Amino acid sequence: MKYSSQKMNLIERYFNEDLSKDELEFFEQEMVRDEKFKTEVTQYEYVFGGLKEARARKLKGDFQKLEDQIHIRKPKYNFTIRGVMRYGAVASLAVILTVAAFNFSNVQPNIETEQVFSEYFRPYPNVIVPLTRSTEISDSDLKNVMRSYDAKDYDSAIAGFDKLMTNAELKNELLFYKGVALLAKGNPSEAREHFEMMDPTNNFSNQRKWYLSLALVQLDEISDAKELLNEIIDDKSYFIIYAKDLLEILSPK
Amino acid sequence: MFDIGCLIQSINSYTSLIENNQNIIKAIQLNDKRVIQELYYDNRDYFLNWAAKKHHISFEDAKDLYQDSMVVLIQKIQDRKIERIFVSFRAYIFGLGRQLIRNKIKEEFNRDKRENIFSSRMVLFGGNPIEDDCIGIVLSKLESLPNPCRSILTQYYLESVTYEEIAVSLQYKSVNSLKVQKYRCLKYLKEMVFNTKVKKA
Repeated sequence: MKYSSQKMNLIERYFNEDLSKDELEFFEQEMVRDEKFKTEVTQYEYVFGGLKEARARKLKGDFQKLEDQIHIRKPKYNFTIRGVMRYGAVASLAVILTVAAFNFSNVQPNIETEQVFSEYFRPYPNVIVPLTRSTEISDSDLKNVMRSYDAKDYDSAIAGFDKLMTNAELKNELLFYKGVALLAKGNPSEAREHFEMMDPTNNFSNQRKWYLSLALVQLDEISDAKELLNEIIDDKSYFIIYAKDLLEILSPK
Repeated sequence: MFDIGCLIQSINSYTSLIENNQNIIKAIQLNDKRVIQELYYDNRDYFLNWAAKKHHISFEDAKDLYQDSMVVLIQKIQDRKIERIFVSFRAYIFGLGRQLIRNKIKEEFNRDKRENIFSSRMVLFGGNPIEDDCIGIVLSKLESLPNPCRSILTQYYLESVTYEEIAVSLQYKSVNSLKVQKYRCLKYLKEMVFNTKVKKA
């Protein structure tokens, strides 16, 4: 069989198990009849096998990157300076609360919400650009906005999110990232409005709960925040470690 | 007594599960990274807990097996080997994981052997294990291919980009002319791998 794109098509579809009964019969006859063709098929088996496995490794590498993102967000429990400072902060908070409870025994203990917030808040990483395939938003517009977000230029990012917000397909994501940007800028009440406007059943539902609970902590609405944190724990989403930790801090014994 | 309301509710929720699965499958076929990422995170903790509690597997090994299960799932969907899923994605991933765990137990899986996990994955794909060398050789030759061949083959085979998208990004007049070029590139790659007479693609 001479080289032609049809022949290549046939070989590739053979390895994809995509040939019709007649095509397969023809293919197998050719393998018996034409030794050169048989050798060629064996060589392509090697090439396609290598490409397939390389793709599997690339995919696995991508998943490993997702794991690394989880690790970045996980609180550390070993005795690093940050850890000691963190427990120091919690201990200080406990002292403050004890003193407050002693002085105002009839008043609910205050939580140092700003301190708790700054300890737990990290801007959510950009996972929508350049990964998005949105057809309604031009890639470059979204890229520019997310570039501002990545560079922590939240004023430009918020203005950009507003411009793109008419896009129905990505509305949930835009509301989410704008909410995070507002939180980062120290505007928890507007951030809360944005998280509440999101469709809780759609993309970023777990992320929404976590950042909304942080906004509520900052707004001193501790009981609502605790309710959400309990939901995160029940959902067993990947914010569970943070949620358990924060819930403990918000529920002093 | 037979509860028709309950039955209808079950049918409705099953129908919506199937519809939702179809949407996810379509998104994975298009290599939508957001959906793949969500799927990965949504099922990760369940899988790790299940593997650790039920099969007494360490966290590291469970994570590795989970990633392998996800690799199999994504490749099968993108290769159109799976067109429909009639159970939840979580159940399907657990099913793949169960098969990998069985292989692991058979082989007395350990960290060194994990390097060769691709062979058990190939069992799931129904193919023969490919030697490690093969990947290295094919990849190194692919990387040394001149463009547009390197770009076409990398995008199509490693990044699962569709013909249509590649044709637009590389400014081909039609998908057919891109396909013809892709086959020339494959031939060129094969000739480089087998060190035979190389003609310029």
